[in-house]
Amino acid sequence: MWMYDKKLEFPVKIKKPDPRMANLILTQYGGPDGELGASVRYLSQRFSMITPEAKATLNDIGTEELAHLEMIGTMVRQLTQNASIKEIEDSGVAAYYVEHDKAVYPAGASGVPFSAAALQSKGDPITDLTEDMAAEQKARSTYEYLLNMADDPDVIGPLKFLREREIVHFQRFGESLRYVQDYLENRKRFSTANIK
Amino acid sequence: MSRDEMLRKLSALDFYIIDLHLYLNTHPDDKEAIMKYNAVVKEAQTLRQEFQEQYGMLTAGSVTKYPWQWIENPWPWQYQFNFDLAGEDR
Amino acid sequence: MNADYQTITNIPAAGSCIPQETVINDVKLAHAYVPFQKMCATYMPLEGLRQGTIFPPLANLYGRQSIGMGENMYE
Repeated sequence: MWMYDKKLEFPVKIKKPDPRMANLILTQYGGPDGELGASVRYLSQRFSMITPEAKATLNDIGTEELAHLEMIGTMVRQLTQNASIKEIEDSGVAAYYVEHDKAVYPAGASGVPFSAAALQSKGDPITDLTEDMAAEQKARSTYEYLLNMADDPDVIGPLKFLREREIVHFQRFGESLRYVQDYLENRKRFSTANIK
Repeated sequence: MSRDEMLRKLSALDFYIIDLHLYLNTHPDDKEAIMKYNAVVKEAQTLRQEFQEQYGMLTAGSVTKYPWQWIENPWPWQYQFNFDLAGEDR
Repeated sequence: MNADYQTITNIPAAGSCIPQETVINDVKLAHAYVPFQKMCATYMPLEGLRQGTIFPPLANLYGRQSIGMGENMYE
Protein backbone atom coordinates (compact mmCIF):
# COMPACT_ATOMS: atom_id res chain seq x y z
CA MET A 1 0.00 0.00 0.00
CA TRP A 2 0.98 3.62 -0.16
CA MET A 3 0.78 6.69 2.07
CA TYR A 4 0.70 10.18 0.62
CA ASP A 5 3.29 12.71 1.74
CA LYS A 6 1.83 16.19 1.18
CA LYS A 7 4.87 17.73 -0.47
CA LEU A 8 6.89 17.35 -3.68
CA GLU A 9 10.16 15.43 -3.81
CA PHE A 10 11.76 18.59 -5.28
CA PRO A 11 10.06 22.02 -5.30
CA VAL A 12 8.38 23.33 -8.46
CA LYS A 13 7.79 27.09 -8.42
CA ILE A 14 7.36 28.46 -11.95
CA LYS A 15 6.48 32.15 -12.28
CA LYS A 16 6.27 32.56 -16.07
CA PRO A 17 3.59 30.78 -18.15
CA ASP A 18 4.93 28.92 -21.20
CA PRO A 19 2.31 26.67 -22.84
CA ARG A 20 4.76 25.49 -25.49
CA MET A 21 7.19 24.19 -22.86
CA ALA A 22 4.29 22.66 -20.91
CA ASN A 23 3.25 20.70 -23.98
CA LEU A 24 6.80 19.39 -24.48
CA ILE A 25 7.23 18.44 -20.81
CA LEU A 26 3.90 16.57 -20.98
CA THR A 27 5.80 13.75 -22.71
CA GLN A 28 7.34 12.86 -19.34
CA TYR A 29 3.82 12.61 -17.88
CA GLY A 30 2.14 10.26 -20.33
CA GLY A 31 4.67 9.72 -23.13
CA PRO A 32 6.54 6.53 -24.13
CA ASP A 33 9.56 7.23 -21.87
CA GLY A 34 7.64 9.11 -19.19
CA GLU A 35 7.31 8.73 -15.45
CA LEU A 36 3.90 7.00 -15.53
CA GLY A 37 5.26 4.31 -17.82
CA ALA A 38 8.34 3.94 -15.64
CA SER A 39 6.28 3.51 -12.50
CA VAL A 40 3.85 1.00 -14.04
CA ARG A 41 6.76 -0.93 -15.56
CA TYR A 42 8.67 -1.35 -12.28
CA LEU A 43 5.67 -1.87 -10.04
CA SER A 44 4.36 -4.57 -12.42
CA GLN A 45 7.69 -6.32 -12.91
CA ARG A 46 8.35 -6.58 -9.17
CA PHE A 47 5.72 -9.34 -8.76
CA SER A 48 7.89 -11.83 -10.66
CA MET A 49 11.30 -10.44 -9.66
CA ILE A 50 13.84 -12.61 -7.80
CA THR A 51 16.41 -11.77 -5.08
CA PRO A 52 15.58 -9.48 -2.13
CA GLU A 53 17.81 -6.69 -3.48
CA ALA A 54 16.17 -6.54 -6.92
CA LYS A 55 12.62 -6.80 -5.53
CA ALA A 56 13.23 -3.89 -3.16
CA THR A 57 14.84 -1.84 -5.91
CA LEU A 58 11.88 -2.27 -8.29
CA ASN A 59 9.40 -1.56 -5.51
CA ASP A 60 11.11 1.60 -4.33
CA ILE A 61 12.12 3.09 -7.68
CA GLY A 62 8.58 2.37 -8.94
CA THR A 63 7.35 4.37 -5.96
CA GLU A 64 9.79 7.24 -6.52
CA GLU A 65 8.60 7.50 -10.14
CA LEU A 66 5.14 8.39 -8.81
CA ALA A 67 6.72 11.35 -7.03
CA HIS A 68 8.33 12.31 -10.33
CA LEU A 69 4.98 12.00 -12.11
CA GLU A 70 3.61 14.45 -9.57
CA MET A 71 6.48 16.89 -10.20
CA ILE A 72 5.91 16.73 -13.97
CA GLY A 73 2.15 17.25 -13.60
CA THR A 74 2.90 20.22 -11.36
CA MET A 75 5.25 21.72 -13.96
CA VAL A 76 2.68 21.30 -16.74
CA ARG A 77 -0.04 22.89 -14.61
CA GLN A 78 2.04 25.85 -13.45
CA LEU A 79 3.27 26.52 -17.00
CA THR A 80 -0.28 26.76 -18.38
CA GLN A 81 -2.42 27.98 -15.47
CA ASN A 82 -2.01 31.71 -16.07
CA ALA A 83 -1.56 31.62 -19.83
CA SER A 84 -4.08 33.59 -21.91
CA ILE A 85 -6.07 32.06 -24.77
CA LYS A 86 -3.95 34.17 -27.11
CA GLU A 87 -0.71 32.79 -25.66
CA ILE A 88 -2.07 29.25 -26.02
CA GLU A 89 -3.02 29.86 -29.63
CA ASP A 90 0.29 31.54 -30.46
CA SER A 91 2.35 28.72 -28.96
CA GLY A 92 0.66 26.13 -31.16
CA VAL A 93 -0.99 24.04 -28.44
CA ALA A 94 -4.62 24.90 -29.27
CA ALA A 95 -5.34 21.27 -30.19
CA TYR A 96 -4.53 20.19 -26.62
CA TYR A 97 -6.57 23.08 -25.23
CA VAL A 98 -9.78 22.20 -27.07
CA GLU A 99 -9.62 18.66 -25.72
CA HIS A 100 -8.39 19.27 -22.16
CA ASP A 101 -8.54 23.00 -21.37
CA LYS A 102 -5.60 23.54 -18.95
CA ALA A 103 -6.01 20.14 -17.30
CA VAL A 104 -3.18 17.62 -17.08
CA TYR A 105 -3.88 14.57 -19.25
CA PRO A 106 -1.53 11.56 -19.62
CA ALA A 107 -0.38 11.88 -23.21
CA GLY A 108 2.92 12.40 -25.00
CA ALA A 109 4.14 15.67 -26.52
CA SER A 110 2.65 14.69 -29.86
CA GLY A 111 -0.78 14.05 -28.30
CA VAL A 112 -0.76 10.24 -28.26
CA PRO A 113 -2.54 9.08 -25.07
CA PHE A 114 -0.61 7.03 -22.51
CA SER A 115 -0.11 3.42 -23.56
CA ALA A 116 1.37 0.38 -21.87
CA ALA A 117 2.58 -0.65 -25.33
CA ALA A 118 5.85 1.17 -24.60
CA LEU A 119 6.71 -1.09 -21.66
CA GLN A 120 7.14 -4.78 -20.87
CA SER A 121 6.78 -7.17 -17.99
CA LYS A 122 8.50 -10.25 -19.34
CA GLY A 123 8.97 -12.53 -16.33
CA ASP A 124 12.65 -13.20 -17.02
CA PRO A 125 14.48 -11.17 -14.35
CA ILE A 126 17.53 -10.50 -16.54
CA THR A 127 15.31 -9.35 -19.39
CA ASP A 128 13.23 -7.10 -17.15
CA LEU A 129 16.21 -5.45 -15.44
CA THR A 130 17.92 -4.90 -18.78
CA GLU A 131 14.76 -3.19 -20.03
CA ASP A 132 14.71 -1.06 -16.88
CA MET A 133 18.27 0.13 -17.46
CA ALA A 134 17.35 1.05 -21.04
CA ALA A 135 14.24 2.83 -19.75
CA GLU A 136 16.34 5.01 -17.44
CA GLN A 137 18.62 5.94 -20.34
CA LYS A 138 15.65 6.78 -22.58
CA ALA A 139 14.25 9.05 -19.88
CA ARG A 140 17.67 10.65 -19.37
CA SER A 141 17.89 11.44 -23.08
CA THR A 142 14.39 12.91 -23.04
CA TYR A 143 15.29 15.18 -20.11
CA GLU A 144 18.40 16.33 -21.97
CA TYR A 145 16.34 17.16 -25.08
CA LEU A 146 13.83 19.01 -22.88
CA LEU A 147 16.67 20.92 -21.22
CA ASN A 148 17.85 21.96 -24.67
CA MET A 149 14.38 23.46 -25.27
CA ALA A 150 14.21 25.30 -21.91
CA ASP A 151 15.53 28.72 -20.91
CA ASP A 152 13.67 29.50 -17.66
CA PRO A 153 15.74 28.61 -14.54
CA ASP A 154 12.47 27.70 -12.74
CA VAL A 155 11.96 24.98 -15.37
CA ILE A 156 15.60 23.95 -15.72
CA GLY A 157 16.04 23.20 -11.99
CA PRO A 158 13.42 20.43 -11.70
CA LEU A 159 14.37 19.00 -15.12
CA LYS A 160 18.03 18.71 -14.08
CA PHE A 161 17.00 17.04 -10.83
CA LEU A 162 14.89 14.48 -12.71
CA ARG A 163 17.67 13.85 -15.24
CA GLU A 164 20.08 13.07 -12.40
CA ARG A 165 17.60 10.63 -10.81
CA GLU A 166 17.65 8.58 -14.04
CA ILE A 167 21.40 8.13 -13.66
CA VAL A 168 21.11 7.05 -10.02
CA HIS A 169 18.32 4.61 -10.88
CA PHE A 170 20.41 3.14 -13.71
CA GLN A 171 23.19 2.46 -11.20
CA ARG A 172 20.78 0.73 -8.79
CA PHE A 173 19.22 -1.43 -11.53
CA GLY A 174 22.74 -2.32 -12.66
CA GLU A 175 23.64 -3.43 -9.14
CA SER A 176 20.37 -5.38 -8.89
CA LEU A 177 21.25 -7.14 -12.14
CA ARG A 178 24.55 -8.23 -10.58
CA TYR A 179 22.66 -9.91 -7.71
CA VAL A 180 20.32 -11.65 -10.14
CA GLN A 181 23.19 -12.82 -12.38
CA ASP A 182 25.06 -14.12 -9.37
CA TYR A 183 22.00 -15.92 -8.00
CA LEU A 184 21.16 -17.59 -11.32
CA GLU A 185 24.80 -18.57 -11.87
CA ASN A 186 25.04 -20.23 -8.45
CA ARG A 187 21.75 -22.02 -8.91
CA LYS A 188 22.95 -23.42 -12.22
CA ARG A 189 26.18 -24.62 -10.64
CA PHE A 190 24.31 -26.38 -7.84
CA SER A 191 21.77 -28.04 -10.12
CA THR A 192 24.54 -29.29 -12.43
CA ALA A 193 26.26 -30.80 -9.38
CA ASN A 194 23.02 -32.54 -8.45
CA ILE A 195 22.68 -34.13 -11.87
CA LYS A 196 26.16 -35.61 -11.56
CA MET B 1 12.00 28.89 11.58
CA SER B 2 9.67 30.07 8.79
CA ARG B 3 7.42 27.55 7.05
CA ASP B 4 9.44 27.68 3.82
CA GLU B 5 12.74 27.35 5.62
CA MET B 6 11.46 24.37 7.59
CA LEU B 7 9.97 22.70 4.51
CA ARG B 8 13.22 23.23 2.60
CA LYS B 9 15.20 21.57 5.37
CA LEU B 10 12.75 18.69 5.68
CA SER B 11 12.65 18.12 1.90
CA ALA B 12 16.45 17.99 1.88
CA LEU B 13 16.57 15.47 4.74
CA ASP B 14 13.81 13.35 3.20
CA PHE B 15 15.62 13.32 -0.13
CA TYR B 16 18.83 12.28 1.60
CA ILE B 17 16.90 9.35 3.08
CA ILE B 18 15.37 8.37 -0.30
CA ASP B 19 18.75 8.29 -2.04
CA LEU B 20 20.47 6.41 0.79
CA HIS B 21 17.53 3.98 1.00
CA LEU B 22 18.02 3.00 -2.65
CA TYR B 23 21.74 2.57 -2.00
CA LEU B 24 21.06 0.32 0.99
CA ASN B 25 18.76 -1.92 -1.06
CA THR B 26 21.82 -3.05 -3.01
CA HIS B 27 24.32 -2.60 -0.13
CA PRO B 28 22.43 -4.13 2.82
CA ASP B 29 25.61 -4.78 4.84
CA ASP B 30 27.24 -1.33 4.58
CA LYS B 31 27.47 -0.46 8.29
CA GLU B 32 28.57 3.15 7.77
CA ALA B 33 25.62 3.75 5.47
CA ILE B 34 23.19 2.23 7.97
CA MET B 35 24.53 4.44 10.77
CA LYS B 36 24.20 7.49 8.57
CA TYR B 37 20.71 6.42 7.51
CA ASN B 38 19.50 6.03 11.11
CA ALA B 39 20.98 9.37 12.13
CA VAL B 40 19.29 11.29 9.30
CA VAL B 41 15.97 9.47 9.80
CA LYS B 42 15.91 10.57 13.44
CA GLU B 43 16.65 14.15 12.51
CA ALA B 44 13.94 14.13 9.83
CA GLN B 45 11.35 12.63 12.21
CA THR B 46 11.91 15.39 14.76
CA LEU B 47 11.69 18.12 12.13
CA ARG B 48 8.58 16.59 10.53
CA GLN B 49 6.81 16.52 13.86
CA GLU B 50 7.78 20.13 14.53
CA PHE B 51 6.54 21.18 11.08
CA GLN B 52 3.22 19.41 11.51
CA GLU B 53 2.61 20.98 14.91
CA GLN B 54 3.14 24.44 13.46
CA TYR B 55 1.90 24.25 9.89
CA GLY B 56 -0.49 21.33 9.59
CA MET B 57 -0.56 17.76 8.31
CA LEU B 58 2.02 16.44 5.88
CA THR B 59 1.37 12.73 6.26
CA ALA B 60 -1.93 10.89 6.49
CA GLY B 61 -2.21 9.34 9.95
CA SER B 62 -0.70 12.26 11.86
CA VAL B 63 -2.64 14.16 14.53
CA THR B 64 -4.81 17.13 13.52
CA LYS B 65 -6.09 20.29 15.16
CA TYR B 66 -9.74 21.37 14.78
CA PRO B 67 -10.96 21.74 12.08
CA TRP B 68 -9.56 18.81 10.01
CA GLN B 69 -6.21 20.06 8.68
CA TRP B 70 -5.60 17.62 5.83
CA ILE B 71 -7.76 19.57 3.35
CA GLU B 72 -5.95 22.88 3.91
CA ASN B 73 -4.63 24.73 0.88
CA PRO B 74 -2.15 24.97 -0.71
CA TRP B 75 -1.54 21.53 -2.17
CA PRO B 76 1.95 20.53 -3.35
CA TRP B 77 1.19 21.21 -7.04
CA GLN B 78 0.22 24.81 -6.31
CA TYR B 79 2.77 27.59 -6.78
CA GLN B 80 2.27 28.96 -3.24
CA PHE B 81 3.03 25.60 -1.64
CA ASN B 82 6.59 25.43 -2.88
CA PHE B 83 9.73 27.08 -1.57
CA ASP B 84 12.78 28.66 -3.12
CA LEU B 85 15.72 26.24 -3.16
CA ALA B 86 18.28 28.94 -2.40
CA GLY B 87 19.25 28.76 1.26
CA GLU B 88 21.78 27.64 3.80
CA ASP B 89 22.85 24.04 4.26
CA ARG B 90 22.01 23.82 7.96
CA MET C 1 34.30 17.71 -8.66
CA ASN C 2 31.47 19.86 -7.41
CA ALA C 3 31.34 22.26 -4.49
CA ASP C 4 30.34 21.19 -1.01
CA TYR C 5 32.10 17.86 -1.12
CA GLN C 6 31.51 17.23 2.54
CA THR C 7 30.29 14.55 4.84
CA ILE C 8 27.59 14.87 7.43
CA THR C 9 29.21 12.30 9.66
CA ASN C 10 32.82 11.46 10.36
CA ILE C 11 33.53 9.24 7.39
CA PRO C 12 37.15 9.58 6.20
CA ALA C 13 37.76 12.26 3.60
CA ALA C 14 37.53 11.28 -0.05
CA GLY C 15 40.84 9.97 -1.29
CA SER C 16 41.18 7.23 1.29
CA CYS C 17 37.93 5.73 0.03
CA ILE C 18 37.44 4.49 -3.55
CA PRO C 19 33.78 5.09 -4.42
CA GLN C 20 33.30 2.00 -6.60
CA GLU C 21 34.32 -1.56 -7.42
CA THR C 22 37.32 -1.38 -9.76
CA VAL C 23 37.66 -5.03 -10.81
CA ILE C 24 34.79 -7.34 -11.78
CA ASN C 25 35.59 -11.05 -11.59
CA ASP C 26 34.19 -13.96 -13.61
CA VAL C 27 32.78 -11.84 -16.40
CA LYS C 28 30.94 -13.73 -19.11
CA LEU C 29 30.30 -12.86 -22.73
CA ALA C 30 26.86 -11.49 -23.59
CA HIS C 31 26.29 -10.26 -20.04
CA ALA C 32 26.04 -6.65 -18.89
CA TYR C 33 27.89 -5.45 -15.78
CA VAL C 34 27.66 -2.23 -13.82
CA PRO C 35 30.33 -1.80 -11.14
CA PHE C 36 29.06 -1.64 -7.58
CA GLN C 37 29.18 1.76 -5.95
CA LYS C 38 30.81 2.20 -2.55
CA MET C 39 29.57 5.07 -0.40
CA CYS C 40 32.34 7.47 0.60
CA ALA C 41 31.56 11.15 1.21
CA THR C 42 28.11 12.54 0.56
CA TYR C 43 26.79 16.01 -0.11
CA MET C 44 25.10 17.93 2.67
CA PRO C 45 21.30 17.33 2.44
CA LEU C 46 20.36 20.61 0.73
CA GLU C 47 23.22 20.34 -1.77
CA GLY C 48 22.14 16.73 -2.43
CA LEU C 49 18.62 17.90 -3.22
CA ARG C 50 19.99 20.54 -5.60
CA GLN C 51 22.22 17.99 -7.34
CA GLY C 52 19.59 15.25 -7.57
CA THR C 53 21.82 12.81 -5.67
CA ILE C 54 23.65 12.75 -2.34
CA PHE C 55 26.57 10.89 -3.97
CA PRO C 56 29.18 13.14 -5.66
CA PRO C 57 30.55 10.33 -7.89
CA LEU C 58 27.07 9.88 -9.44
CA ALA C 59 26.47 13.61 -10.02
CA ASN C 60 26.62 14.96 -13.55
CA LEU C 61 27.57 11.76 -15.34
CA TYR C 62 26.84 11.48 -19.08
CA GLY C 63 25.68 14.81 -20.53
CA ARG C 64 28.40 16.59 -22.45
CA GLN C 65 30.11 13.45 -23.68
CA SER C 66 26.98 11.62 -24.70
CA ILE C 67 25.97 11.07 -28.30
CA GLY C 68 22.83 12.75 -29.51
CA MET C 69 23.25 16.00 -27.62
CA GLY C 70 22.60 19.09 -29.67
CA GLU C 71 24.90 22.11 -29.61
CA ASN C 72 22.80 23.96 -27.07
CA MET C 73 23.75 22.35 -23.82
CA TYR C 74 21.63 23.05 -20.81
CA GLU C 75 24.45 24.55 -18.80
